[in-house]
Amino acid sequence: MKLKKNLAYRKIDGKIFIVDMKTSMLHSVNEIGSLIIDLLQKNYNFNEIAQKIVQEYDVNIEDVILDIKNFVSILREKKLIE
Amino acid sequence: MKVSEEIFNITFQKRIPLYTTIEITYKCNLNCIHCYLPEYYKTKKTMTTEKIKNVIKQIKNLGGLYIVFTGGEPLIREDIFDLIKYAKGLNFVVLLFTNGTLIDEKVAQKLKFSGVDKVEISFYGREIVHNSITLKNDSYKKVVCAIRYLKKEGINTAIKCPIMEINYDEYVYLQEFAKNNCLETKFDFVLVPKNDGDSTPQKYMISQKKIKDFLQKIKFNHKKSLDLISNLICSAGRNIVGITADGKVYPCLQFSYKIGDLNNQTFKQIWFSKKFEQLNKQNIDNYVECKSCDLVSVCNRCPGVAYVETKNFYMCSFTAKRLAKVVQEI
Ligand SMILES: C[S@@+](CC[C@H](N)C(=O)[O-])C[C@H]1O[C@@H](n2cnc3c(N)ncnc32)[C@H](O)[C@@H]1O
Ligand code: SF4
Ligand code: SF4
Repeated sequence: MKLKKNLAYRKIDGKIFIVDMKTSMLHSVNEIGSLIIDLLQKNYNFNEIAQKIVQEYDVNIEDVILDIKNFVSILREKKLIE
Repeated sequence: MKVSEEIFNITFQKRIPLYTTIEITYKCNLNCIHCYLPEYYKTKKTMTTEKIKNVIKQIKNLGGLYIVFTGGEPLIREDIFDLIKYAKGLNFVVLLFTNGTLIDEKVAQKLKFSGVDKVEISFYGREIVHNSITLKNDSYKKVVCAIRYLKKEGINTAIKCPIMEINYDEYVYLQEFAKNNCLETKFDFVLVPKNDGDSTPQKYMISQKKIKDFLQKIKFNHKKSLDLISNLICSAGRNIVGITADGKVYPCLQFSYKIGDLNNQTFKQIWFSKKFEQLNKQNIDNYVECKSCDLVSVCNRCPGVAYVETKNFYMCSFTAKRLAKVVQEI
């Protein structure tokens, strides 16, 4: 699962900004969301992403997996991933 | 705050080259009467493909997100598709400014394949008028065909037109054309002097009365701003940057105050150079005339044009003043 091919995006000051020229929409993603996208782009699966997040932040792994799933479903709703 | 404002503010404050315009050639197959590029620039040496790619990579690493390829006529360079593909591979938004005349069916397909996000075509009006500006008889027909081919490929296309005395009446036609073909339109009526200071293009500018009529017809609504800083301090050199075909770096292509040279410096060195730092140290106090000017809230001054006009980018720009007076009246 990755960001759609035609999307332009950049991490600027810790946040990822995504430009969807098809819909003329500009999206911004918070710091954790940006980390998730970074790892998705590197082909990490949900469990691996959750483990990385747990290493960096003091959080519970089950909650993190749920958060990742929610976040990904938002990305899917906005048609940003494929 | 809107995301567009958020990204603008962050990059403005942190000085990130969000939006870069790269001129990739001075050569052109047309000879437009108002063009800001001096004819003799056409023989200048230009950057190689590898050089341009290297610069794009550096800009990406600094946080750049938008790249515009312009010229001269960028489609004259055969590596244009390769350059677009390269920038797309680095996840940029890629725009192409073109006169459209070199876009046939095959070129449109190659553009589609390259992944270009948007093509902006200069289009000046009906056949006789368009051709009398480009000084080439088949240019109108070619532009119309180019738009058809781009649409067929599903490429996001816009038409762009500086409104001059000679094509003032054409915007009605262009608006209609755009509506029928679902195209975005961009009109402007500021003509800048040539890059070497020659003011010939400005003699084609429309009168203040016509600017006023035009703005009223398109129901232009200028948001009056009382914030002196946002009115006076331009983004050029903060989150906008311009690179000329021979590898010189400017705050913006319209701001011919040279900051560095990619032939003997890296982009990063130039971006963090003393000269850029000094330019960005500007504050309200530098703008002695503007500070106390009653047009400041409606003036859209461009430091680049002020620089060409007065050799000082803080001085009053006669071009901006002319326009501000009209905006104030409507
Ligand atoms: C210099 S051209 C380069 C790209 C391409 N050759 C084209 O004509 O679109 C970029 C745009 O600048 C506009 N332009 C040229 N000279 C100008 C001037 N003196 N002032 C304002 N705009 C100008 C053109 O009409 C065109 O839309
Ligand atoms: S097509 Fe563009 S670069 Fe060529 S002469 Fe016209 S404005 Fe200048
Ligand atoms: S009209 Fe001249 S002095 Fe007044 S704000 Fe504009 S550029 Fe400055």
